[in-house]
Amino acid sequence: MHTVTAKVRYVSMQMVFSVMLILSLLPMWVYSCVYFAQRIFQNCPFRQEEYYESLPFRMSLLEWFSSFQSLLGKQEISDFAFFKDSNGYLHYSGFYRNDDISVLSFAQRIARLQKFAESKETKLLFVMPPGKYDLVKSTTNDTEWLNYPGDKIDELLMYLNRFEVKTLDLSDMDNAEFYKTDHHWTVKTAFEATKQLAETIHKQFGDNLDPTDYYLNLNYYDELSADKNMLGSMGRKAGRAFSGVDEFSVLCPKFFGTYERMVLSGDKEEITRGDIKQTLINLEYLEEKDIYKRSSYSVYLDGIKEQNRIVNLTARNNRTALIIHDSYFSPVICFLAPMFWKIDTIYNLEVGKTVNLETVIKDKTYDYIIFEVYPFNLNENSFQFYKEDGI
Amino acid sequence: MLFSSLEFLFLFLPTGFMMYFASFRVRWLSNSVLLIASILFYAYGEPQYVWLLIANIVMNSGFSNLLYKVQDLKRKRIILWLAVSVNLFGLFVFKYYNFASSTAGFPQISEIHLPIGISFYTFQAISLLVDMYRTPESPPGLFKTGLYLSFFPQLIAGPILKYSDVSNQIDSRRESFDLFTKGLFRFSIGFSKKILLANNFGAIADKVFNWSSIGTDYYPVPATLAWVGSIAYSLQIYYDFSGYSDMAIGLGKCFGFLIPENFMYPYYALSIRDFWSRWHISLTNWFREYVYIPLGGNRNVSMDRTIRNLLIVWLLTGLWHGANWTFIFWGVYYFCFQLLERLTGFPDNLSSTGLKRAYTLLIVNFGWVLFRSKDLYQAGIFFRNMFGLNYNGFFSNLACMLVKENLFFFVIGLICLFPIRKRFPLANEYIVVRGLTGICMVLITWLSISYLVNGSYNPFIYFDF
Repeated sequence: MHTVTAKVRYVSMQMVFSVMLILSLLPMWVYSCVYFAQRIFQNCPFRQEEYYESLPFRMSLLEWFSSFQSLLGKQEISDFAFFKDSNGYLHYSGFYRNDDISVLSFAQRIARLQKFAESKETKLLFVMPPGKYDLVKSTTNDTEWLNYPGDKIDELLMYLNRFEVKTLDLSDMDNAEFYKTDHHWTVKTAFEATKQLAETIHKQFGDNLDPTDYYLNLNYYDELSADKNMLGSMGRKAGRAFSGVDEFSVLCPKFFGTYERMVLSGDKEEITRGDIKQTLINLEYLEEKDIYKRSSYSVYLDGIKEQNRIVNLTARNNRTALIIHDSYFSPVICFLAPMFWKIDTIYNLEVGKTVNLETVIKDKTYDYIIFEVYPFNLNENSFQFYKEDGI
Repeated sequence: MLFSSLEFLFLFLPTGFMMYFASFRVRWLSNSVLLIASILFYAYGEPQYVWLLIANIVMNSGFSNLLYKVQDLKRKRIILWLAVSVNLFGLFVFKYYNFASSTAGFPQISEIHLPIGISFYTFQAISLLVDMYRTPESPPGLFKTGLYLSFFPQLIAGPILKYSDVSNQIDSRRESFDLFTKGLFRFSIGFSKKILLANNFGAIADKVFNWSSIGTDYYPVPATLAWVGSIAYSLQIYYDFSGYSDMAIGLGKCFGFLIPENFMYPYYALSIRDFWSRWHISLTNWFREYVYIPLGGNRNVSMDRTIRNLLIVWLLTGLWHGANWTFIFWGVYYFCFQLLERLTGFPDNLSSTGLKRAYTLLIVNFGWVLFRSKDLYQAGIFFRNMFGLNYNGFFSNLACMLVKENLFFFVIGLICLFPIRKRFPLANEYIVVRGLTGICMVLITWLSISYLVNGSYNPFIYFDF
């Protein structure tokens, strides 16, 4: 009897632990052996990030981490990468801003761009979309978590006004809606913004883009409830248990239109032709089963491309525009496409890296240049053009 | 390679265990596995400096051979001085040259990068040489020297092993399943301490110290926030360092080595002297054995000599932690308090143990501010922030928010500073409790792994050491 008790007692917690840990580590060990062996045989350099991302059960581990953060009632996650407000919306957190940015210099560059545009009889409109921050401001007291550059936006708009640059300030847009798990505005809000953009062009430049109230009438759009479990870019990093999910709807025109789209990415050129679903609104993104890989917002214009040329083959006008934008504007461009004959787009964060704006616009003439910059992109990278007054 | 990385946990460690236990019945073979594993471990993180480590092994093996062969005491002493000087010269070039030359106004070597663990293996090499000088036993040979200096569990963050402590263990040790499981358990405790506690505290501390260095005009750090930052750093450095030591001791046990303890609840100390008998014990012992006692220690007729010896030891202790004036002043700071305690008998003469502990914690906390700051100017700013002398205000919403967000970790972190396990001696009596504790520890380990997989903040704070 004593021997049996002694044997039972001998099963220490360390033994229980060790056996369980070793068994649970086994699949990871097998995977890692195969992974590293492949790397060695293929003579590929090891990259820690790639290895971590390729690990089996990665998403389960992410969700475990995410559940633990929720269980602790935390508002921030991943070393303050994201912050969840009391309504459950995720935001990029930040405690102080690098105030070295020269807003005046940015405004001067846009003014130079306008000066060049005017020399070609092109009209320029600067668009500032709303940030998710205003939502936080109205609902929580945790504004210390964010580094929203509100004062810088006001300063920039003031300078632009002084330089007589036409602006559309959507930062105080009524009823702007955002995704909880993503930094973007919702597609419906983007549609509303498109309407305001058209109104501004009408008011400022006397050009009515939609005189028949057809292209900007929600009645002529299908609302497809496309993704009831959308994880935005923030949610994919924070985990579903922490961020929750969004419902993503696609607005797709019911009316006919044929487009030719040329995508320029580096040296690659890709041309597609067809109706809007074959060229500008790609619903294939919603077919991805894995919610951690599904990027629903990329339905519009495939997310981000360095440069696009969109030609409306069924256009009833010869209106042209160059849109310098970030990812906020992808749906807006799709909504604008029926009202223009040709739209060229440039992803503004690529300007200066792979695209020289000054060269691109030198030999071309547009009716409009629309420059959009998301509030958090108010930095040197978004204004890599006309740094010197050489016009 | 870091213990707190997935490639170590998922590949290096299991493969190392397999190779080792496939060969553990043949001692020279199992030691070869350990040596190769250790070199690979180092080469993974410091490929450019692995040759420095190998050269160090070869050189010190040669010197120890020489020390054994030479019988004449005078010549032996010259060889010892030469060997120690060469070791210290290497350390000086990589760690202190730029600091010394910038202080003296000489040109610096651009982009000199400190080899990880150089302070640890240099001190171990000196231990080997001095032990060989003192007790002329047969020299360890290249292979044994290599394993002693590069043994991967303690190569990059200690504890510093004395040659006399491990010499016999390299030749003959007993591995067992029981010891292996205890080692693995201890490793996981250290791993969880590092990932769950130290890294979370580190995220807070790094932010507050960075904000403080920005300047009050730009981003004021109110007093409460500065205190939260300093306490977070005190907790970070303890859980980080003791976590690494736990991992090293645990891994050592897995391979049959009994590595001495490095931390014994230091924040439970009753005085600064007591604190240093509990904090980084292997370093304190090393300095006592190889510096303080050879200088005469406490047994001097004159008190001046004892004070001089103390000052030398604390200057060196400060300097060992990094080439910066902050570390030197940090060493002098502890010298002053140790001296004060020796001369006045404070705080032993206090009747309340609570007051003694509060005094110790306060002094240690201020010491860490000096230690963590980039330079003396920043340390000054931080101290002024702590006392509201920087036009920085007192109350901070941000401080409350940081504590609230990390309340769970603060509570666990503060509880674990005290020897609470001793209060529940019967917990291990029940098999159900033992089983559940084992299962909980597996879950905690995987939770820590999930932090790593998610790319959470995971600093390595020994780059300066």
